[in-house]
Amino acid sequence: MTITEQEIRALAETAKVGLTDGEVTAMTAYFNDAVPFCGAMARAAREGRLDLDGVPPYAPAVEEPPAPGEDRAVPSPLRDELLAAAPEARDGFFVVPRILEEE
Amino acid sequence: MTVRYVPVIGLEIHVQLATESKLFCRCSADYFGKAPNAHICPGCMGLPGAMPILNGRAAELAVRAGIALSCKIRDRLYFDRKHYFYADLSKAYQISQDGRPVAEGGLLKIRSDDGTLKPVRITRLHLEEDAGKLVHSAADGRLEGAENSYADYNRGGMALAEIVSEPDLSSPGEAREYAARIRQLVRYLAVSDGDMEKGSLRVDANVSVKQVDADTGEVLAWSARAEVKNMNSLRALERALEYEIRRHREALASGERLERETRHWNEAEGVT
Amino acid sequence: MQLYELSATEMARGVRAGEFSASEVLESCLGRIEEGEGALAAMITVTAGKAREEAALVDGMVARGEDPGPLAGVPIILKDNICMRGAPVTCASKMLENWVPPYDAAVVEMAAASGALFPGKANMDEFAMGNSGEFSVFTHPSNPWDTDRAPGGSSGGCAAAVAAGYAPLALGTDTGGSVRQPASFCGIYGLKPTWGLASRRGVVPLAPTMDQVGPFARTAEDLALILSIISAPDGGDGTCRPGQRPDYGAAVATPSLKGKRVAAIRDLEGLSSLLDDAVLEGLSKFLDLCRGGGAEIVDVSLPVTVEFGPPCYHVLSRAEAASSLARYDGVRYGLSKRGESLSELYTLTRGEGFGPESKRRVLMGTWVMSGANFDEYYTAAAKTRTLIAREFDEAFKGCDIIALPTAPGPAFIKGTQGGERMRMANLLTLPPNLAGLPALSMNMGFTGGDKPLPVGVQLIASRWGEAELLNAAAAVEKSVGGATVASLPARGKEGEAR
Ligand SMILES: [Zn+2]
Repeated sequence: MTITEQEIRALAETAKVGLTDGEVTAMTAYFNDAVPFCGAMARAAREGRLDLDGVPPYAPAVEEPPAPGEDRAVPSPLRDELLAAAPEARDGFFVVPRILEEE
Repeated sequence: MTVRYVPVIGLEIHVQLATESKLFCRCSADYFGKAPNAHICPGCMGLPGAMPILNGRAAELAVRAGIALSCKIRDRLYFDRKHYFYADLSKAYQISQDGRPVAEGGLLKIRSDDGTLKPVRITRLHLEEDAGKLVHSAADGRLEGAENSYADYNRGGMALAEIVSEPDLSSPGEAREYAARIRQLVRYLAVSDGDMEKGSLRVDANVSVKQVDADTGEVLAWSARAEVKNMNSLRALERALEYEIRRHREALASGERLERETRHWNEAEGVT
Repeated sequence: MQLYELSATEMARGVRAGEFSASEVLESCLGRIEEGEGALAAMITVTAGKAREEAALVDGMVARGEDPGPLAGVPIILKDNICMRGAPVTCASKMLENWVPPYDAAVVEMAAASGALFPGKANMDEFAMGNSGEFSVFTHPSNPWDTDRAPGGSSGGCAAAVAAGYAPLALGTDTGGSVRQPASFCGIYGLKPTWGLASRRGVVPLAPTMDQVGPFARTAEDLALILSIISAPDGGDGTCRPGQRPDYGAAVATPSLKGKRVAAIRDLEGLSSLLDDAVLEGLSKFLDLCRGGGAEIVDVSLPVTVEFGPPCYHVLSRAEAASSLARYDGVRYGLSKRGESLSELYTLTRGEGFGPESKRRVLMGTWVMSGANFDEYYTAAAKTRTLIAREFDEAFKGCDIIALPTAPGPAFIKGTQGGERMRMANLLTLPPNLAGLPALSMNMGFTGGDKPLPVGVQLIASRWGEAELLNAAAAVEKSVGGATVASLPARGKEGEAR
């Protein structure tokens, strides 16, 4: 399987990561090198060298998880600080480029 | 040959849980009509290093509703991240229960159009966070301007239970009856105030129409499923479904192929 | 002897006893930072003013006869992905270069409440992804034992700082070896606790199912001291285990290897072409010392871990990184590049804000999670991870500690990593992250030559077995001694540090 520059461009659009033409070329090379490496497990399973049948995906957990939080509203003292950290804020809102309403 | 058209409807109902605080942080859940971003904190704003702490009360209310709907209740809670990029979503993912909902496989009996009792199967009930709101202009004209939209995260992270039915409903009246029963149930159990106008109970409908040979019962054709949103009352739900079913019937009758799509009910114009 | 050369335990004892002040300790360490930074670039931000205020508070308490706590006057360097109010938490990225968090991480709160001082934030690979420090968007850090070489990564700045005597302790994060590998490169101790032991509240996440905060120190006693503070339960982290922790201080006070079963991994023999002789000699030396101390040397087999650990980690760490890094979109904080549309704002911000390794990981993570790839890559890796965890469970039925090299070799020359070598650099450190186990790296001496380099050995225990690791490390330390402070190179690379 070969991954094309076009596929990398589409992937970058999905992940919302801007890439220069040079970066697209380098990324394509990385993918074509790394993807076969990443496929080692499924490949070994098909070859019968790794038995994944009936094995559940790993789920990290501590033996006794902490109790859930209490439902008690607390004031939001950091509101002004959070708005001040915004790249662009106005009248208490975070500003983004215009979005069409129907979305 | 006589042809019949049978609507096939399933509802997804988002119920805002009657908690004091949000699902994964302790910001106030009393957000309606508040100043923009009055109820935000590092948690619901997705700041790096802020961690979710589950609201135990929200889980309790979801379980309560699940039991009332005769669902099987899972003994542990599992959450997943549902990723999408949008300005109303502060972490670029919504914490939801995709694979393992808290409750599934339930049943709710409703009065059908002919007056008999009809069981409607409940696929699942799961917990998830709400998204924030985008404003495109303020009422007083302060935010006018063509180039900006404005994000308010007061609603972001609010605790929701999503109740999904099987496509067992076969008329706008039944859909309305089902939604009314759900609203009554969540109000009676104090799970939610169920106020559709304020958006604390939101109904999305999945609808398609099948064309059936009235004599043999053979299914001749299906219309592509449409998801209809933005109905702010039970009356609106009924009207939107009537409109949508008519649209599907006409398409089937004329042989036009509909695309699978999401449509929004326009209350003023009475169209989707 | 200078104050900066003391261990944290000695510093706190002296400050509490009034033998010297916290301010004197701090000035000694700040002097060392000042002297070393030109060559090492171990720090991103030095917060001398803040630390001086903290030192004055500690000295005030001592003067009033109050006890500032077990870390009284001890400077602790923080990796720059651990939040501290009043200083940026850059993650060595343009994305957060100017973002100041409005909170302290839980581990910072805990250490501060015990009298610690925080003189600055350490250099690292961007968002903790890398193993050399060379993915920092700032000046690349250097190894104090040989400044042509990398201090390791991603917590390379922390390791270089502790080795160079900037502070006796540092806190880093370890997702696939990011504390242990730099500890081994810099000749000091590094510990990755069991997943769920230390709170991660206020620590910028990379791969949440693998990340742990981990301490650096120059003695086993100091490692136990800092661990006993930062391992406190925290209700603010839903993945942090509640309840009492073992007495880590006791584990290092009277260490003994008598009757312990220390295991070597049989399957590593097949990898000997990837491993430098020096690290294999370090392992032999460690096993000999254990045997001499009364331990029984056994061996275990971890075939799935050794063969499939690296690809399993590659897939899962990228998937989680893509998710963790999705939130940096230029809307609420951090870098923002306004575009014509929302989509453009995202793409421009993330295109400019992320460095090359972040982009690779975000894209690969997105790829393995998408559509048809999900089962083939992500699910297969997630299932393999279960087998790896089970393999360790099985192995620990027959031993108390598994010993192996920390890294394939000693510190490498900067700019020489890439491809296969880079992919295998964390081959030996990633298994404990996959299985959620505690692991410790300690120094086992130096290579020969005119610029001797530290060689590390790694110890892995079963879940919540930190005391087991500390006991063994302290026992072996009796023979090999604690880590020594590296002497600083002559100044000559002025102006490189930020
Ligand atoms: Zn909040």
